[in-house]
Amino acid sequence: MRLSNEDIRHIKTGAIFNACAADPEWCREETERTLSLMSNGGRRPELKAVEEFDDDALIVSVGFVNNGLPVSDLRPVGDEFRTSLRLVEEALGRRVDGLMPLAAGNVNAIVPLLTGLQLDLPIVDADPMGRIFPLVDQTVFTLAGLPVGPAAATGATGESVLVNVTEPARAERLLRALAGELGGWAATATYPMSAATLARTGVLGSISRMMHIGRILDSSITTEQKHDALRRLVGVQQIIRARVSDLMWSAPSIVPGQIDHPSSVVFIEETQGKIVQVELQNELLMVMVDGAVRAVVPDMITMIRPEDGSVATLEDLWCGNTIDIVVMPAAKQWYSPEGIRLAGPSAFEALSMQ
Amino acid sequence: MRIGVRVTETLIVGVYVCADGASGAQSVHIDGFGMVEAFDRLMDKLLNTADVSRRAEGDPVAVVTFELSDVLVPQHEQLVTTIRIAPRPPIEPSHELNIGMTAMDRPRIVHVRGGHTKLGEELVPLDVRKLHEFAADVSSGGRFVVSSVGAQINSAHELMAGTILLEHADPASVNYSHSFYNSSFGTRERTAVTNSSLIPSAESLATALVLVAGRRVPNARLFVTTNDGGCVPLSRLSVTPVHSMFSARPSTLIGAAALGHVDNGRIMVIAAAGDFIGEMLDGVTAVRPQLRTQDGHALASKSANLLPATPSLLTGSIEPPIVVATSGSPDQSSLGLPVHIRAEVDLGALGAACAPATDWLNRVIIVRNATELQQSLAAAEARVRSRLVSFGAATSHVRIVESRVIAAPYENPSIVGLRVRGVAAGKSVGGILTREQSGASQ
Repeated sequence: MRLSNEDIRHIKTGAIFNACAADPEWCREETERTLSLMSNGGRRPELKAVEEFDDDALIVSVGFVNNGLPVSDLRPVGDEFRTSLRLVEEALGRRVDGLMPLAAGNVNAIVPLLTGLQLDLPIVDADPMGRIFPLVDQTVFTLAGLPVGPAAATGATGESVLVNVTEPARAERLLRALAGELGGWAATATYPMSAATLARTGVLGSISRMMHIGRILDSSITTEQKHDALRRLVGVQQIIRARVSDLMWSAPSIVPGQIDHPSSVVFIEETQGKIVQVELQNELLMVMVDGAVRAVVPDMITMIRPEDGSVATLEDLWCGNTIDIVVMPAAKQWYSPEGIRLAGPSAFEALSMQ
Repeated sequence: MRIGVRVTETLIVGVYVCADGASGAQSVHIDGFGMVEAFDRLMDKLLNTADVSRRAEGDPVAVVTFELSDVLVPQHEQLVTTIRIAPRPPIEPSHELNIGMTAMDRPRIVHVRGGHTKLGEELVPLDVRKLHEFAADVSSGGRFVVSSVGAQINSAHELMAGTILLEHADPASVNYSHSFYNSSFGTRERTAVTNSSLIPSAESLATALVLVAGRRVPNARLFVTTNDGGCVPLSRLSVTPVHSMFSARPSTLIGAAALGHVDNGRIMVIAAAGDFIGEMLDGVTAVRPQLRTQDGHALASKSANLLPATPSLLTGSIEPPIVVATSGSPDQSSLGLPVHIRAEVDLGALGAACAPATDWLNRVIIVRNATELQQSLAAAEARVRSRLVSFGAATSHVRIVESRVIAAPYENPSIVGLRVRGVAAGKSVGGILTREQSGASQ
């Protein structure tokens, strides 16, 4: 299907919801670039189910890997993903046939739409995470034993690097380091694979799912109706409506392999005086109500604004603000023993401290 | 004694609040006078009321605070030129991005190579030669905004570009994006462009008001209300008018809180322009870190969290909001709640009189351990306290209401943000007015 402007806006909203985005501006700006390119070029991104590709079609994931200045400060100039994809094509000796997002959330959900428009490539309705995890190797492809590389990274300076790497954990370390050296982020092309492999191992339907979520959140129905609609669509459950009471940032030594320090947010549920604690480390990792765990990674914990049912972000975590905390299940692969080991509670420093 | 003055295009309203909590109001229509003369007449009327003149010795006018958002008018006759400093210019128009700028605001853009990393290191050298060539060619009297990648950490390239413009381009004004705290290049730039467009109006207002106030109440300190429900010295208006651009409703909320004696709790204001709900926490407004305009675009200005009244906001809390109706508004809120207090006084002007002097410090820092973090926080708090004292506040009236560290997701783990909010007020907003004062009917 060819995506309309409204579809793109809904994907953006769904992407921010999936991610409980650190800074929604990243996603909004990438969406504006996409809409502007659509408007100027008169073309629309093409979204295709993985079955619509030939089995041996080459699919590559594209996405930003961050370490320093955010994409909203050091803005891309427009050729970064093209450069990375060209490097991967040269390494593999063949053309890329389709793109997928590195993650189904925040700015990376929009990146393939824009890059697909630029290169006239279709987007596959699938991704490696089904949500956002902070590390490049926290993917269902790692669970399936697939290589990350050959991978490529390009920065806003125009500098680019081809990384011949297979081991996912090493790819994370190398790409993260490159992102820092390139000024704050790297526009990466990773996980080249055939459409047949993607169909067998990937999280399928994740882009259309974001679009459906966004359509509900962008509608003019009441907050309660949005909760109901999201529950029916993707199993979203409201954990609690509570007010931000305190924000705490802990400064322990940095654990190797972790890309940010953990933070805690304490909420008060006022009608019954319940204490809600949310643990963060780039993403919302765990919610406890009166000390009992109500949701934890790989569950997708996110937030909605009570006043109008619009999508909330980490920007809304300021003292005094009231938020609906909600949870929805992640892709089923993440609840396997291997999935829990790679992206469950023990994979995050914030939760290992609990 | 404190005086709050709300200026609109047609009316100037003044409210005085005495140290003992007594208050009163006067107003003057601007038609036929002009704003300056109308303000002069208003001061004349206020100073000659029995309450004020009787107290002139023991409780002289110490503070006059203006609410000016209605008359801060963006100037669009002269386009702003934005110097965008980044490692490379966009390769296609879709990557130019002028989000949230109207056709009238949209600046002329000049791209210059430069920028810093999150650690403050130079990403690429500043293209000084291009800046000199541009400055030599440009007409004098221009308005400029300089925005650079990484300026939140290291503003050196912005300042260097500004120096070249000031020395060689004979500009009317140069605004820097790093003056506005935000991690987004676009938000900083948008705020600076908006600020730049307000400066001519702000300068003219500030000058006129200072002249009249200086004659009428020479010993009073002059303040202007801000978007966060506080106030800052009027001298700041000419520099950062954007922080006062949306202060009308926050001032109204403060006025409602004063009238309702609310230091903690939600307040619903019934107003002709639409009911809204805000909240007082420990005597100050609940504030969101950045302002979102009606079309959803962010400006780097702290703003009181005021939400349109919707049924959802009435759930999840034990205490229903105190409902305050502005004069001339309906007897019932849009949500069917009964009105608790009907204001007979202009809430915006009352809010200006009661708004606490407020100062913020936002800074990105690099810390390696908890000790460094505590030292940085203590230094930030000391700086906020000293700035509030420099506003004329007694040291004992200054308090830090928020002091915290904010993590920066997906950035360098040693880099965090500091946010400190201080206020200076002898009495909390809810305790300023006497219980039986006459500006309200229950």
